[in-house]
Amino acid sequence: MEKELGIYIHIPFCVKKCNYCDFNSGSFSDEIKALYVDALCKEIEIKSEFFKDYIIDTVFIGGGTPSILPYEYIGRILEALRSFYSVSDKAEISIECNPGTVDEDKLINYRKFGIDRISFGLQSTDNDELKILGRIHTYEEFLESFKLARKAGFENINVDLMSAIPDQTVESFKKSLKNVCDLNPEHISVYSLIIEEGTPFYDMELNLADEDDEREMVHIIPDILGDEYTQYEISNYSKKGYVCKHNIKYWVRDEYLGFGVSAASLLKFNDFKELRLKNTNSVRDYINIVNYDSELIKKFTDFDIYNPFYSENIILSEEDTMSEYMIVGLRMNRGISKRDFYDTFGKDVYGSYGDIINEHIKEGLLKDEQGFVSLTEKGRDLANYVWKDFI
Amino acid sequence: MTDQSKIRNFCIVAHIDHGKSTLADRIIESTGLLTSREMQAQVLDNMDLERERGITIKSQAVRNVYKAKDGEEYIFNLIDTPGHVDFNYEVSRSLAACDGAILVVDAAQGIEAQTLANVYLALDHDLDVFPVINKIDLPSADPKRVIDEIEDVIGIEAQDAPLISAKNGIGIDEVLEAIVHKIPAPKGDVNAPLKALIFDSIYDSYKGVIVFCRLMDGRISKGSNVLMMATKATCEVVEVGTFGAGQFFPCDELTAGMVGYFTASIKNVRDTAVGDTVTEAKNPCKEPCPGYKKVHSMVYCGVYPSDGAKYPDLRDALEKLQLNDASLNYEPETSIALGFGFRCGFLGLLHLEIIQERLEREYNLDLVTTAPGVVYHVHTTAGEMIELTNPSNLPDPSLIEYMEEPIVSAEIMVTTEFIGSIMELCQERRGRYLGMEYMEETRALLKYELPLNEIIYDFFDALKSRSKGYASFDYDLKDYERSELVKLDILVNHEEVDALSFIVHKDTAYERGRKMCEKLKDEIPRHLFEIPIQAAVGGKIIARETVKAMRKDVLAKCYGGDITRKKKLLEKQKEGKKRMRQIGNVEIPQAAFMSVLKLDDKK
Repeated sequence: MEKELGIYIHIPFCVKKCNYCDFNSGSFSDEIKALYVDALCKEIEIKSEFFKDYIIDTVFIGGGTPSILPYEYIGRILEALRSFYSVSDKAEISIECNPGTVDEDKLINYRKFGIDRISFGLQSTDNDELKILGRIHTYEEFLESFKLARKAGFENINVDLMSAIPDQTVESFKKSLKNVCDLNPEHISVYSLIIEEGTPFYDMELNLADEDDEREMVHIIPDILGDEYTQYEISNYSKKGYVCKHNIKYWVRDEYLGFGVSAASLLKFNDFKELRLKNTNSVRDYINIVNYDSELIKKFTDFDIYNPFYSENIILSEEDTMSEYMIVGLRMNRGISKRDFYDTFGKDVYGSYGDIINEHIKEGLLKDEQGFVSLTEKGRDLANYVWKDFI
Repeated sequence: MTDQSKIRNFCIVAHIDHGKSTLADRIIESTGLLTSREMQAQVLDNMDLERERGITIKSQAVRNVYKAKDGEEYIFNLIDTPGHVDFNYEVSRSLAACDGAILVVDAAQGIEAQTLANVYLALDHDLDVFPVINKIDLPSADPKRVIDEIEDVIGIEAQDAPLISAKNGIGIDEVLEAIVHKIPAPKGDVNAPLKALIFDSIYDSYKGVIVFCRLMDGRISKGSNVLMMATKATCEVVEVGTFGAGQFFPCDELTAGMVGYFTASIKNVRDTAVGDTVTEAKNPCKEPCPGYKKVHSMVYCGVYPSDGAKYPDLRDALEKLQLNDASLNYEPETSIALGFGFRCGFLGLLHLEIIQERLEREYNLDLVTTAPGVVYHVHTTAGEMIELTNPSNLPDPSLIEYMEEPIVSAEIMVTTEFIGSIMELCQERRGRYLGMEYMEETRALLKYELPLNEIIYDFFDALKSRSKGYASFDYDLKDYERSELVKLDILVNHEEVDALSFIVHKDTAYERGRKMCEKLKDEIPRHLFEIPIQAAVGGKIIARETVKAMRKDVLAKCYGGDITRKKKLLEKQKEGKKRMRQIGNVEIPQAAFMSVLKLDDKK
């Protein structure tokens, strides 16, 4: 039987970096962008020999802002993928777009390349809030982009929103959410802002929501979204049948392969337990190695050498695997399946984590229902407190 | 045998930062014992810790050879003295080993409380003191004023005091000549029975205890059978010698007037107490050197390893430190909150901090210490007197007739603009005002009697912050006085935390209790539930704060590339939890136990 594989492709380019962003992204010249896309296509080809017996069922083109590239580049990347891998006809293929960076032409071509899912980084419908975040677009530009996407035939659209934006009130958040809800997208992600070290926000004096307001914003989401949407992960909501299949792979720990700078992979080869890879974070190193030292790319299982192509290449022990299984699995509302745990590790989840699970059930943070152990609503507020015990 | 007329035994007394160590360096340099290349920045202070704090802890001695202008070679034995009030007794023994002292006074700062204390101590020991004015090259230097001040306040001749800059090597020759002419030569009797004063001792893993002594009379050499008159220990001398800078130079014998060391396979520094007299076992001298005192610990606190499994390591480390420091006491104790540890006795708060830092730095231990306390005298209804060093051992109030606490007499030197705020501070600390003397127009010496337990917490810090660093302070234990003392308990989520209990005067109990609750509120992380923090005296709650329940602790985003980093964050969180102490169902970080030591909030 062919194994399934998810593909992640990282486009680290942005018009301008946002104030909260700690992803690997930034503004680069057109020349670098072209070189980078060439390198991406080469990396896709070079790695292909290891994945002959896989079928690709999800592709996610993320960033950065993939949509600032000329659409031809996206076409070339997907063409490379299809020529060296077997990509399922039914594969979910997503692309992240920034409002204001797409036009009708681009969107129609995305459809032609087989892309069937768009994720818009909106964050807020309040233009003042967008300004504080350092976003380059307005709400009105987003509305235009959204309309064009529908017109181009996209039937699976996600909109990213943010809560706890500096100066945001519970009311203004509610309004953003309602506005988005009225557009009837298939999927909505709501991330509570985290001020990360190294971002401009980290050094700014910000008027941030207090803990009570911050939680209220999160707690009112289901009410505003109504019955049509279901929460399936800490920050993700979708209509029935529209969960992001690619992202689910991260949380159930299916195999995925990343291309481009900082892209991560989780692979389960026969002779290893599990392998985690992460590509170099440097655009310059990435392009150079792909062009001049491409043998290094294949040497991800050679642990004796210093390999500058990978910022991470490690074998996960069974202990690591199990602990990750619990932590990422509990991000999903359905939680972890006790049967799947048994099938995966050959032992009972209570045998490994019984004390921890029972303690958190007693605290009202976990529940065990119908074969699944999952976070309660209160548990989702305090998930770190639960997760850390599985480390 | 060395001609006593060519020996000069002296020390340097000064306030911290007035340049004592720098002058010592210059003297050592100028006498040519060491080349400049060998000179460490400050030769006498060989512990890192001392250098960082700018003070000298363990006294040491250096022997230098100086060729004077009269063409003769003189032996200078420079004996270093600790510069802090905690080590007053050690200072006094070092002074007793000298025949004279150089008083270093900063040309800009003038006389400080500590200067006075040390000079008086030197004069008490009949030392000939001559002043040196240092830092004359500072723009703010005013040597004339300082000279007058020395004459007025201390009453010693200062008109011809060398004006120097130890840092820049100005006037050092003058100091060297002054040592020859102004410090008297020793006048011991070489033929009398051995009489040597111990002024320090250190433990060396190869040689055993190395005893630093000054020979008053007689001689000592390899094979001498000696007796320590106070501890009654006897031993056979293995080696005698003199001191280089940080080195030992063995020699055949030491004779009257000399300063040097001997070793004798002594295993414990307790047998060679500072201030004791060494004499011949078979032919002892009639009288020991005067002034010997058994040192008592003034300040106690609980010292616990933050990782319970490190208890044996802590015990070993304390054992080793004690080999070198007879004034450190410890005995095992247990705390419900902190597990197994030791109740340790110290000369003072600085001594406590130094030991704590050495344990952490040299022995790589992570420690939790409890609030330091003093020794209380508890008189029970049964007519007994208990010396209480651990508040947890306080008997039931119904069994206590009355309690006494140690009182010190303190002298605080302060510029006049801060007199008001310093008096206010002393008032808050239950000080009894004894009087004030003006040193000059702008500076005064305040005299107070203060309970020791009021100055061991954060008095130094408070003094410094309320005088913008201008006040200096010195104290001496006076006696014990009856006092209305109570035990203040801290309850976290209704459970008493024994390691946070302490004894306090009943009038300050409320204030301290309130501040402790406030501090703890900031230190204890939010839990799933609300945590009341209460201060109680005799079961009665006198203050309360609440740590609100935790509402949010969740990473919003986690996709493929984030997993490793997010795992690290969770690991960190878990590590933090490990370093906490479990009291009932509340986890208290170790920092909380320490933070309550610094409660003064006026700046």
